[in-house]
Amino acid sequence: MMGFIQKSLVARLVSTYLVFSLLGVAGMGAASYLVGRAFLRQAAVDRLQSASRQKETDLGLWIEERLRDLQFVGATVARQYAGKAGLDERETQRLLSHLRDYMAAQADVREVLVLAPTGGRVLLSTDPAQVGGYRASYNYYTQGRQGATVQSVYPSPESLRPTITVSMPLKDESGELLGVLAVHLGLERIDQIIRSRAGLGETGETYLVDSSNTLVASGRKGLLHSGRQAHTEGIERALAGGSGHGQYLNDAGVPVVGVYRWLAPYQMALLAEMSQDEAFASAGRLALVSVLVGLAVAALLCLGVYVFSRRMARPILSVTKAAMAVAGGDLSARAPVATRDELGNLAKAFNAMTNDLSNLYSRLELEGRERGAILQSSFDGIALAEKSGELVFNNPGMQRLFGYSVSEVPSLAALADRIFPAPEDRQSFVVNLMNDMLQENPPERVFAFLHRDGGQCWCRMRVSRMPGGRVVINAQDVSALKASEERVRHMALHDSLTGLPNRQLFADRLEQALRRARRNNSGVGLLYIDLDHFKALNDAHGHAHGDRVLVETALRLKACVRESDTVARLGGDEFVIVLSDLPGAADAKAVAEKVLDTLHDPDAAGGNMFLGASVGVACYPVNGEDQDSLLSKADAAMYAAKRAGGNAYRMAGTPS
Amino acid sequence: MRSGTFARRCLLGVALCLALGALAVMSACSGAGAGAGAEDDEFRIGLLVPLSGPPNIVTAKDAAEALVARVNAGGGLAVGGRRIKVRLLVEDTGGHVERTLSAAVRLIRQERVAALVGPYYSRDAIFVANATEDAQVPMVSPTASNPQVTLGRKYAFSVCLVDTVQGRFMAQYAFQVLGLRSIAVLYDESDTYPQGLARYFADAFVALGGKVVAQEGYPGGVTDFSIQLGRIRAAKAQALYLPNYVQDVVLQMAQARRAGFSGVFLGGDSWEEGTSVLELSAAQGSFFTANFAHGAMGEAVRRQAEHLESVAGVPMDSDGAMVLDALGVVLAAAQAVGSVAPVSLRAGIASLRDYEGFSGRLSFERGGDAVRGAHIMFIEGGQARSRKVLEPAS
Repeated sequence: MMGFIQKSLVARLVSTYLVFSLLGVAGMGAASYLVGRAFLRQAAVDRLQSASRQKETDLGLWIEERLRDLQFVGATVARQYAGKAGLDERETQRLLSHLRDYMAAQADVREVLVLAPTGGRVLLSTDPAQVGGYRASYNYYTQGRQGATVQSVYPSPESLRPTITVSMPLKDESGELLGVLAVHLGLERIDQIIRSRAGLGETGETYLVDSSNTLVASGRKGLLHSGRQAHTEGIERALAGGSGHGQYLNDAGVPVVGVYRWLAPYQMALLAEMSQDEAFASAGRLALVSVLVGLAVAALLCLGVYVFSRRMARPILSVTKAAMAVAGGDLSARAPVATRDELGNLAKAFNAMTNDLSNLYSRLELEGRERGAILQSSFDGIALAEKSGELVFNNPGMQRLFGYSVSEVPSLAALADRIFPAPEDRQSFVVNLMNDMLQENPPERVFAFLHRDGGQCWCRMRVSRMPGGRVVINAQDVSALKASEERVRHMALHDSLTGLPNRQLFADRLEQALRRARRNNSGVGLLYIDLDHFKALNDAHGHAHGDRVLVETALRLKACVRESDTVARLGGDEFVIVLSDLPGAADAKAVAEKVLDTLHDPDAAGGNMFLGASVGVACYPVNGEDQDSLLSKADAAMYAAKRAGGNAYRMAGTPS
Repeated sequence: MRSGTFARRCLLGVALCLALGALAVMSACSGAGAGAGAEDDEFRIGLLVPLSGPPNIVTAKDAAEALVARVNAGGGLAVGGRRIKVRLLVEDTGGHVERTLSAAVRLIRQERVAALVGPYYSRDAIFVANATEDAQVPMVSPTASNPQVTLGRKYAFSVCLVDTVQGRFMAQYAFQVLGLRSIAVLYDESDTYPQGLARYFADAFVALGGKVVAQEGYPGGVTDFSIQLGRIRAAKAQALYLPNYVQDVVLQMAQARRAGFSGVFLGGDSWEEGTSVLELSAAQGSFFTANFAHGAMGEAVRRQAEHLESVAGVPMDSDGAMVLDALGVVLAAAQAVGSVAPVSLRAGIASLRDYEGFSGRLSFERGGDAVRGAHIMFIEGGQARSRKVLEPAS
């Protein structure tokens, strides 16, 4: 919901309006409720006050009526007692029946008593049980002796029920006190006055409580004899002697509007109460109506706001729609130019922008495709790496070169692990390249590596920095170049006919053997070999045969020595053998004998191949310390052997 | 863009606050304040005493208030492990039945007292006892001595000597100690106390072998007793028993002497009220039964009495002693049962034994009438002195 409101312009306009209008409606409802309530409270208080005033007046009238009755009865009774010390039985009965008639006519009279002028003895009573008792200490008696009096509500000594007693002196014509007439009044009549609900609505009621908070009369039935005192705010205030009005809870816990009056002459509190629910019902209705009307108006206005904002928002929505299509990749989308106002200009500007964007996008796409093709088609390997050594991209050339893709070798270290068997190679590869990344003009690196298919290859690699910190790695397969280099080097150092090392390489090897012998304190043997009768063979059988003899000789000589020894051809039919790590001259002799033996093979090729050889042997350090002296000594020894007839060897330094 | 959003949020916030405020006002207006009185931490005791009489017994009110002030000054009454403030609610009974009853019912129902001290007169106490019995609130009267007050009731108590015992005590003293044989009685027949005491005395005196030569009743409110006194004088009574209220007794003594009666006046504990009888010259040499004798107070009680005397500024008299004992019984019962609930208080009072009061030691082992001692007082030189002590009946 919130998301929708945030996304939709119309929804936002409408919801904002709705919030404010609802607040307005709530405020209006509250205001009308409060004003209505205040008004109704006053109205309710007025009603209750007039009702309670009416009740008080009724009460006063009732008491007055009872007093008038009392005067009337009193006159009758006084006539009976006048001039006599007492009544005889007949007179008593007549008077009693008269009083009982009066009681029958007045339902609220409970008892009529005639009391003695002194001592308050009960002379006569409608309740025979009371006759003979004394009322001397009763207020209605002491006051009743003085004049007509109303004893305000008090608990009847017998029943503790609220009672009112009216009394008056009985006097004869001369003013002599004959007695006191007292009438106990039940409050049933008050109940009737109180119960009338005129003008008090459904829940309104009035009731009387006496000073002890005993309910004297109530509109509610059953409450009178419940014996429970209600301690409500109204009652407490009235019993404290106050009069006024307020809002409080009644004894049943119902919130009421109440008017209370302390009726001092009767020592009673009169309360008139009405439930707040009823009193303020119209306020609630008023508030409800104003809220409903407000809501209806707000709903109508909402509709208006909706329609208006739709109209307002339509061009914006169409531009938005086009913009969303463009954002979604559809560069062909165009916003309709519906109006000529700012919104129309917005649409035009948007369309122009989209056009430019579309063109730019096509150009960029083309360029991108070309660049991509270059990368893809480049035979050389091109890769992109982070400065951390992480590989970001490699082209097919790079994959072809090493046999691995970026997903397989995500970093330079991973690549090194795959292509170098030796740990030190791996390490130096990574260290070197990382170093190169930092340099402005790094060197070209050429190294051999193991291709994925197992072949040994050569690579030339160079890194160059890119703006933004990444580096481009260019790599080329230089295996073919390396192979041809090797070939040239071999040709320069070997005899092309026999494949044996030539003079240059021989000198090199001899030097190495000497160095090692000096270091190891060992010896080196040098055998100088010249084939016997080679010239004759060459002449007799041709150069091709001579070449064959030389090739075969080379093979047989190689078979005579260890792998570590060197057999070289110095030229023509002259060969040398370097025996490195020679323990003693005897070993050189043994080799010389072996050579003689292998090169003298009259049976081979019809006796035209191995016709013997002359061998001169010189040993380091016995016969010389350096190359030249050893070579010349061996050469000299060979000549000595040749001079001696050939097919023999001579040790240097031995007499010929 | 941001600040726009912020301003709009602020505006919405203010609007929401206004709406909530309006709702709060509405709900506050619809609720009505409920008042509740917290009276649980008070020990509410009602005192029914005539103050706007006649009669008026202001000294009793002063003494009771001094005692309550002293208890509260000490932090309140220790009840059930805590201290509770005592609140004395004094109601003027005015001197007539209606007002006494209204006041008593008001104290019980409206003021919700836990106990009532009073009323003073048996005629009132009998009716008030109906109300306390109904409401189950204990009533302890200082002076209502008629046996009808407590008869058949659970919640009515009286700390004074019951009239049956009082009448007998005086009858015995008159017959055995004073050696009187013929006695006249003049009594107010319209009031419970004089009527009852006159009868109990006369019955006891006759039972001892004495003779009641005249028994004259008169209606309340009469001020001229010459007819009755004439008859009494004619009967040659050695003594005249006057079990009436002091305002009558004062008139009767003077009128009796004027009428030529020269015998001894005897009376009941109503004579204790005030000093009007003691000061009367006709009363010198008379005897009456009394609950309180200043000189008979024990040492501990005397010290308390002296303290209260210094606070109230008047010497401890019978009015003070009796109201203090009635109030003291209520407080002692509360402490004994550890509660100020009316029903518990009643049980506490009913089981009180040997309570040391200002008017002597008293117990309630036989219903609501205190089992206690009394004195025969002799009036001499405007003062009353104990002549004989009645030990509590065992």
